[in-house]
Amino acid sequence: MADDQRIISVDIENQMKTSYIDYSMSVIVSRALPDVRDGLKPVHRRVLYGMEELGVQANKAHKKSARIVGEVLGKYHPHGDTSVYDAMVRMAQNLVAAISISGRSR
Amino acid sequence: MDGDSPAAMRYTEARLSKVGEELLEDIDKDTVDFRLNFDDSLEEPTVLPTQFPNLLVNGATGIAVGMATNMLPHNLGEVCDGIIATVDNPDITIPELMQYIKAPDFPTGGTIFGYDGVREGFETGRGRVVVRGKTEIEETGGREAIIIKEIPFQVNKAHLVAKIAELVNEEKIAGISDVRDESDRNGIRVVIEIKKDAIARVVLSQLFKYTPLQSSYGVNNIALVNGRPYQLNLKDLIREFIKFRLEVIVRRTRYELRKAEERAHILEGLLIALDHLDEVIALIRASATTDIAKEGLMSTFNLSEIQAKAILEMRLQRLTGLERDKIREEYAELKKLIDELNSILDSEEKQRGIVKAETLDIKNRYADPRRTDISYADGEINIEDMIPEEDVVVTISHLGYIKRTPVSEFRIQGRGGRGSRGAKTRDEDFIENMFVAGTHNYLLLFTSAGRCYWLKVYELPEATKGSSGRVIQNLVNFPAEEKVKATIIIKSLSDEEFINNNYIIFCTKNGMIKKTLVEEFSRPRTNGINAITINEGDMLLEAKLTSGKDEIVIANKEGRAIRFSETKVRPMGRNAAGVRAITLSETGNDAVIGMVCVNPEDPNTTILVVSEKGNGKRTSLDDYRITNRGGKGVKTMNLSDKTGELITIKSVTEDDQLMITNKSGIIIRMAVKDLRVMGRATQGVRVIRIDDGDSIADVAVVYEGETDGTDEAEITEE
Repeated sequence: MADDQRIISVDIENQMKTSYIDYSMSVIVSRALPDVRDGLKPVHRRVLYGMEELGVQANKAHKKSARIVGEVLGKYHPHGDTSVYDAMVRMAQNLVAAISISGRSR
Repeated sequence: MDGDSPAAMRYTEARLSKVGEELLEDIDKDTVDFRLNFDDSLEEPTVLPTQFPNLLVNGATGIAVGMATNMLPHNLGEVCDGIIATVDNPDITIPELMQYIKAPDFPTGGTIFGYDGVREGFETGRGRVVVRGKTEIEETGGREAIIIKEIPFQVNKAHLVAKIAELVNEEKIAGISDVRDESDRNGIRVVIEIKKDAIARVVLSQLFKYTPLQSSYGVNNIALVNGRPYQLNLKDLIREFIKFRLEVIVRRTRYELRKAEERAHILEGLLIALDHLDEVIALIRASATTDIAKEGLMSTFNLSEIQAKAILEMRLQRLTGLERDKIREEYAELKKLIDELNSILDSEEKQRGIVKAETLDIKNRYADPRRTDISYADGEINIEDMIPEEDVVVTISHLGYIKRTPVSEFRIQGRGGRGSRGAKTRDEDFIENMFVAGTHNYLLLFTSAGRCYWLKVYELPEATKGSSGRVIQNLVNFPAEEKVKATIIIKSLSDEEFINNNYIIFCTKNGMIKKTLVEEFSRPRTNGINAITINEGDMLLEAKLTSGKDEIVIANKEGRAIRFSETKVRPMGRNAAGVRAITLSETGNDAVIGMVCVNPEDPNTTILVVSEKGNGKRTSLDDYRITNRGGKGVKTMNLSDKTGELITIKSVTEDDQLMITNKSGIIIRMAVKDLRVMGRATQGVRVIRIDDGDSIADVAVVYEGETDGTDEAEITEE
């Protein structure tokens, strides 16, 4: 063991408590709850912004969903690809859909 | 809709929709804050500058830690109206808002059922909304069919259809003959065919009760306000949205103002240059480099660097007279725009006006009519209201099969007809009890363990007189080891006069008796209630409805019977065990075999007793002396090895018939009038011949109904 190793002893109970609270707050703020202003959770917001940046507006041609998912994953959303695609599909099924998905494959 | 998962992303293509663009509108105008992405290489917006009230319109669901959110979708047009009304009157109340935003609106339609939960959801941010699918009843060829046209939000249609089929198989819902899913791309169409004798509306209300065709949705409006979760009511949601819109508008206006001022600054430079065209050209021609020219322009004409640069980058074609006018025009317009933008920034009034105008614009472009109907009527539709009150014939077989049959099934026969079969039963079974009851009457069932269960007569399976019906055990939920020992029919449990003046008398195998007011049984519970406490080793034998003035005769195995007035038994609560009716002999083998309740004023009633080995007789009631309860009773039959133990005691009239079942399975039927009335302490006569080792298992009085010779409906068994 090297002498410069720094070991901080922590109480396991406190550590669990603070870690869990950190985790809960993170889930609340940046995953599960929508913002009152735009009604979006972070993943939805990132999908929409990513699509805008990618230039797939309503008057442009459809783009492969996988490309959009890739863009959002690579740039903004460091999580699983299914969560992004599911969010996209959800937004295409909304009462007033924000995305249109077509099933044509080339 | 059917729970199919979406096509994989490698097969699909996507683009933003028009509405999606509204969410992003003006995002490049510094309207919202940006933050760095996860690896600090790019920026992403912290919020989108939506013009569109997305949260209220599309709703949201999410499960966080320690809290969850569930917001229902609303109609865009209504939400826009609500926003506009709130802009006009910031002090608007929630009830006033609800004149615009009436209820959630689901993309799948359906009908919102009951309004209290909706109101609560709007007022507090927590509530409950019940939604029913939309249905129609079609009639084809005399048969009805329920057509489901819309199903509640997020209900899986395939599961719904499967659930209905399952309930039909389990016989939880009666009256469905077929379920088909005929949905296609034009819409949902689930066809539920109704049996000929069933009522479509009754089936429908059962579908609402047992399947997700009626579903309820929790409202739990939790959203982040400044990064912290709050529970929000309708007004909060709208106020936050307006606040956000105002912020976006101010930031956008500032951005536009800055851009306009920058442009104006350049144009001012160009205008100066145009006014001094020849000098500018000369200056540029004299300069050795671009930088020198720039410096020269800046010092000679007192221009900024940006202006000087713009002059140098100007194309020569701009020098034509027309282009020069254009620049002047553009400058004048810019000045106007700057004034306008400044006035917006100065006036919240104007900012609110913009929120209103933009919201109205969104409404005009995207709003569509409400899809979910609202049914303000509260509460359940009572099934009973839809069932015609009519008389039916209820039959209960010896083995516990029960059914109801329309009275009309029993045709009127002429004099001397041979009657018609009342029910088809299994070989060793026969109809033990048959009576006419109203469909709305209650059937009280008492089990060996002393529990009471209820059935409405209409809940009994309707069957033709030829079929056997269903076992009672399948209709009520009680443990398999219990047996139904007695059934009592009561017209109405809400008839105060009746339930407070009539009693149910219970009698147990060990000789206990108890009397309880009918009133105590007037509040039906699905899981039944205790009717009497049964001691260990004892069981309920009989339960009878009495008027309070009847007399009771109880007999035991050893041939003794006791007669006393029911007034000797004081009324007790449901959970009491009762008092002693008869003292049994101490052989340890003795037990009560039956109880009869008789109206002493009815001269036609005689007491019938039958012994194990086939002896039986009738005796006039008067031969039984009235005593107090709890005694040993008087001899009701002389028993010997030849007669065996006493097996049954019944009250009968001349017109009744007996069904006698042997342990070996032989059933014999005989008319009561064939049995002579004799004295009490006699052996009686041989009723049936019993083989060695065989004995009588049970004796039942068979309902005979009207005898031949009248023109009434005849109800007899072949």
